[in-house]
Amino acid sequence: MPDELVSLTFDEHPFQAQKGTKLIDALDAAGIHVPRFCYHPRMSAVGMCRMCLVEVKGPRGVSLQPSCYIDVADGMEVFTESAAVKKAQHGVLEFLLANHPLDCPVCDKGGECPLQDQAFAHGSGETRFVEEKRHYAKPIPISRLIKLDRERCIQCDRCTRFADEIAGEPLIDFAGRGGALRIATFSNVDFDSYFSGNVAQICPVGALTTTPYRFKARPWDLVQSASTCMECDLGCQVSLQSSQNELTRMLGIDSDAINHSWLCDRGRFTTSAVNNLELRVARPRLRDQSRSAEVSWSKALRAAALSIKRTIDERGASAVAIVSGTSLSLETTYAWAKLASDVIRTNAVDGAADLRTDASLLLENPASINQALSASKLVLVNVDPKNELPVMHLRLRAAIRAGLSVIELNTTPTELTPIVDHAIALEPSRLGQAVDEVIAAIGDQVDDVVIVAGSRDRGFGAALNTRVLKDLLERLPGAKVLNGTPHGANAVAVGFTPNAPQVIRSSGGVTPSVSADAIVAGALRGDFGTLIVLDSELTRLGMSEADLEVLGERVTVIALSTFESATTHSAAIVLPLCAFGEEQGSTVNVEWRHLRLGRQVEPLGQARSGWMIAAELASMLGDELGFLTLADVMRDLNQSGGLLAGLGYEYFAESLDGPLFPLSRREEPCAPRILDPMATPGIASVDRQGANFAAGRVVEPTVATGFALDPGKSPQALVSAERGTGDVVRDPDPLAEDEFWLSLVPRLYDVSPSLSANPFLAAWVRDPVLKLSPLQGEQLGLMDGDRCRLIGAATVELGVELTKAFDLSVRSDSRVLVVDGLTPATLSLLENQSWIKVRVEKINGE
Amino acid sequence: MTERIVGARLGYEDSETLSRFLATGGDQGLRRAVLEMRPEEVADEVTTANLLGRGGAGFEAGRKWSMLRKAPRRYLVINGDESEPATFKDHLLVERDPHQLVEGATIAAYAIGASLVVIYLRGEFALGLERVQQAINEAYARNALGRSIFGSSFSVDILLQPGAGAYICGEETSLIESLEGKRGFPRIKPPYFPAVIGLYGEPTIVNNVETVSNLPWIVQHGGAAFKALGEGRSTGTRLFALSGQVQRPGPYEVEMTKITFRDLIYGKEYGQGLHPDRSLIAFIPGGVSAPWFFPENLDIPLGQDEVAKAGSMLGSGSVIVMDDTSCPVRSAWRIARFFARESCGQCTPCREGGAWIDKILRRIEEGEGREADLDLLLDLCDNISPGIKWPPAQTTICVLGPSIPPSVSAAVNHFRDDFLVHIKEGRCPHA
Ligand SMILES: Cc1cc2nc3c(=O)[nH]c(=O)nc-3n(C[C@H](O)[C@H](O)[C@H](O)COP(=O)(O)O)c2cc1C
Ligand code: SF4
Ligand code: SF4
Ligand code: FES
Repeated sequence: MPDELVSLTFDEHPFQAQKGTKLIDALDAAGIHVPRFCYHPRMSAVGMCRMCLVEVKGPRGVSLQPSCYIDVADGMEVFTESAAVKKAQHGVLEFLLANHPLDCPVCDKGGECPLQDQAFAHGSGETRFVEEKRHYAKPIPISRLIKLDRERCIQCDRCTRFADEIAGEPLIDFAGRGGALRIATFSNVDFDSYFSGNVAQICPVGALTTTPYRFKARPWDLVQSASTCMECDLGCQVSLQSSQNELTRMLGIDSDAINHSWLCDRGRFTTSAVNNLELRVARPRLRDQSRSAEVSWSKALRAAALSIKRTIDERGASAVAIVSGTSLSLETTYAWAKLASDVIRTNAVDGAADLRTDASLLLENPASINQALSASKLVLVNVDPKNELPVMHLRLRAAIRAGLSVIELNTTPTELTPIVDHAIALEPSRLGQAVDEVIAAIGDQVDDVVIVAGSRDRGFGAALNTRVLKDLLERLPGAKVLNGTPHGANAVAVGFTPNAPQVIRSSGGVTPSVSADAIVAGALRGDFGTLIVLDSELTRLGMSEADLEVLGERVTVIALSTFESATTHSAAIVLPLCAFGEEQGSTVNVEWRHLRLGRQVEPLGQARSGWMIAAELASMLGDELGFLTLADVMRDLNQSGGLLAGLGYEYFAESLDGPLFPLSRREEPCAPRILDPMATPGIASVDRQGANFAAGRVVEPTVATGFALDPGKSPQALVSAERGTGDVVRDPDPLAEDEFWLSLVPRLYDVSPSLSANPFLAAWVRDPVLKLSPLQGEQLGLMDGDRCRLIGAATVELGVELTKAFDLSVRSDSRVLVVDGLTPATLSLLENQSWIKVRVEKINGE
Repeated sequence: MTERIVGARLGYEDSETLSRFLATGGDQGLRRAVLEMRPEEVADEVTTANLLGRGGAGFEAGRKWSMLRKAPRRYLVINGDESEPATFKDHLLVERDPHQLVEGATIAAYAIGASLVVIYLRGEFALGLERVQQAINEAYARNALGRSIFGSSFSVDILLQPGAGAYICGEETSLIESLEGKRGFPRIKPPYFPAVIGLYGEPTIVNNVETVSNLPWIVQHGGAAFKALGEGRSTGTRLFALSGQVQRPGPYEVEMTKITFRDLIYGKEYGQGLHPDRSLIAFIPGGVSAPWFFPENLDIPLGQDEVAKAGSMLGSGSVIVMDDTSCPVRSAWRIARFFARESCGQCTPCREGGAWIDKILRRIEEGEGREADLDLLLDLCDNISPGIKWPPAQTTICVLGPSIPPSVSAAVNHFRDDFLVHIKEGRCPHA
């Protein structure tokens, strides 16, 4: 059936098209471009703007039909050039321009505006409209990020359709009718959506603009390159645009494999953080007692190397710990993995602090995103796509609408819970039962099951999380796995985290075996001499601010960082890292797809790429990593084999979506795509940068130093890995009467250095709350807006929020208490164990 | 005196009461249908009767029913949204004979196998809503509705839904959207023919109030008796709402094709002619979306095909008379303004074109016109309804947009001199 072809004629030339194809898509494929405004290939057609009318001959003669709305049919005769078609299109265009303010010179869309393009190409030079135009107050902020100019709006329904159909947040809609039809929010409710920026991207005119980009640049002054958003590991494809060495904006590219042109706001507006020079680390610094002073790179590197060497000499190589919890580029991750394994030779290394499952399970039988979304059954395990991999939430919603059957296994409901087929509660005391329920829900559709394995709930320990995944995989031997942890894919891919199987390292290297949690705990105990923090905030990894104050007395902290943070303020040595958009490179995403990172602006101040810093430290430690250029890193990575064998930049010349790894086992051709400027206005063409990439960039000369590393010292395990051995995990002790399991779940806008540095997003960070279903509230005597004290490893005061949606999705006998939002305070509730018990008390108001 | 069908009870002061209804043949059609006939037989009678839809398009009710997609659940929607200016026939039937409407709707539900009937009444019909609800309640009470109607195996429920205050919600697909709780945007046909994909995606028949009000009579007297009235495709009787500058405006039930517009406007039993010393300049034969007729068309009979052949339609059954004191510019403007204001706003040509035409006509009427406006008006009409022909072509989703050009083009083409006077004198000569 899917291959059924129909024969039809376009302007009297015969064509064939797949049955079920929209006429407009078939015309595109035949090279016939019909003008359009409301049609968007990733949303359902509405046929409203009437711009795409063509003549179609049917049983009742020839009539004008919207080509975006009707499907091709056998024997259809289509005319796109007839006088009637031209007259109708001309008429629609004139109608659209009649009330349009024609303020292109001051409109952000000017220069990349489909309406302007159409008017130039097909409009008449003069207006016949002499009446008073419609007027509206403008611009109207419909959210903190989006402004609406109703006079420019052409009522195409794209923004409203996006909000309703794609995001599932119908917070904007039409109001009024006839000429007064206008976009509106509901009273007192803003268009507060994680995905609001998309409406500005798909608005075919300048009616919706983003606050960060308003009046920032003219499209023709922008230069752009294709890149990959690094705010999470989904790998959304973006056009990164800049003007005069400043990042101006990011637009989503329609990658068939990944993001279908959508972005979340956190990713889209990340450029504003990069541009916030006040909170960027621009120069190396050394701390002397309480004073911190800027120093030259050579001085800072020498100090760092000295600290590492002294630690190795005095306490052994394993007393040097390296930790990271964000997404570093593949090259930087690899360089540090090699430095750690071959030069420093420490096992206290974890570049995937967020990963709370056994890395080896993620790679045995990996699924692509598209495979996951077309599975017979998709099982979500401990993952909240909306808050962790936001665009995956949009893709999942669309797939569920198209019939995907989803089984959700979570400790805390998500926004998908109401629309999945089965929502199964994950609770420490009923793990076996939960797994049984998943298996029962799958029934006999075991053939094509995909599991999305996440690390969402911080209260649900890594060992338990691993056990659930292991149990599921044992019962579903053929199931594929899609990594669902938002950061750390590169670390897993190059073996820069414990238990990563496809380890890339020269023979004789040292394997990571200490998890980030153990590193953090060990550092506080004084187990390490040097702690290297790669672009991460220690308070996100479980340290409190008070911990940071005393940390320096126990260990020398070397922080490589893009943004200022509590960590950089307390570290002994601070090394500035290039920000997103300041360096070329590549990355792998959750499906192990190799994707490019584009460089659009010069690094700020003296910021350097992480891989360069690793190379320089290696030489200062008397060794060599063997690379001077980015291309060298890639060559080395390629030759190191393992998961990434065959890796290179050449792919990027051919396809926007890079290849899936391991190459030998993954065959999924990347669909070629037409970049339709109407679908994604603002991206006229995206540089195919393969050639540039392959050439790499030459590193500035390094300062040679003469520390010799004592090769005799062998690594020793200081702390054993807590995570992911797959050993049998003890069942948790039962709860006492007044005890609950703690579920501590992340939000997209949890406080982080890059968010704090973002003037447009910082306001989205809210205090964490204890989230209860109204029923739970009743049982605990807590009401919406109350404050309470939660007692776990520490005691934390929290506001109470009653969530109606929880009543539908939380089991009435649930013994799980949900804390929404990760902060240093809520993280302090955790202990270093697999499950967390808490008690709750109401705080009585004054 | 012609035969009375839908208006048979209207002569009684208490026509809306159950006692009058039962005393004048009420329930007999429904009893006969559910107790003595199979659903197909009822449908066959309606097909034989050649009952044309009275909502505007004039589509044969029997044929529409036969196109209903087979499905376990089917719906019937009764369209009583009647919101067009000068249209007031359903209003009358709803307020003055609500039991007949409920009986007709129940018969239709039986014939098509509907499990639920929704009567969608214009929200402003306060009295009508009250009376229809009472009629429904009383029907349930005497088992003319609900479970096992009159002891038969047929069960159906009727739900009364007040309209959402928009003319466009009278358009059947928009009405369905409105019923589903959505904004009244018409759906695109194909694929959204209600008989295929209607209310909640299920096959649905939408019939006008007057259309189903004929059913009790048809079942009682047989389709052939109905067909014996009128001529050709136009059978039975129709309620015409006569308005405008006539001596005796009002609703008149007449046998189809048997009288002419001249009879209706001038006849003693009907309009009784114009006011003294006035002369007819134009009349609209079928509501404000129909092309205008002129004195030379007075002798056309009130029949669907006869009117169509002359280039217009009987449409919603409202006949609007204009004498020589009325200003054709103003008339066209008022009509265009109505459509511009009632456009749902989805389609660019209707939303923008309607508003633009409204502004131009207003400007001319207020004495600010230009000669170039006349060609502009016609060209804008052409961009909404290519060729400005009849039946109309359209660049829009529904036919509200194409309802603007007939009046505008009739006025511009037929009363060009009036326009020029407005333009040259800078004022309305009739004001
Ligand atoms: C703009 C517009 C408004 C309409 N309003 C009404 C209405 O108020 N009442 C009605 O019965 N039909 C109305 N119609 C016609 C309906 O779409 C539909 O054809 C009719 O209800 C079918 O009933 P019938 O077949 O019994 O005539 C309207 C059509 C359009 C395009
Ligand atoms: S604001 Fe933009 S996207 Fe939304 S309806 Fe108007 S023109 Fe379309
Ligand atoms: S023609 Fe007018 S009323 Fe009909 S759907 Fe289009 S905009 Fe709405
Ligand atoms: S109607 Fe087809 S693109 Fe708008």
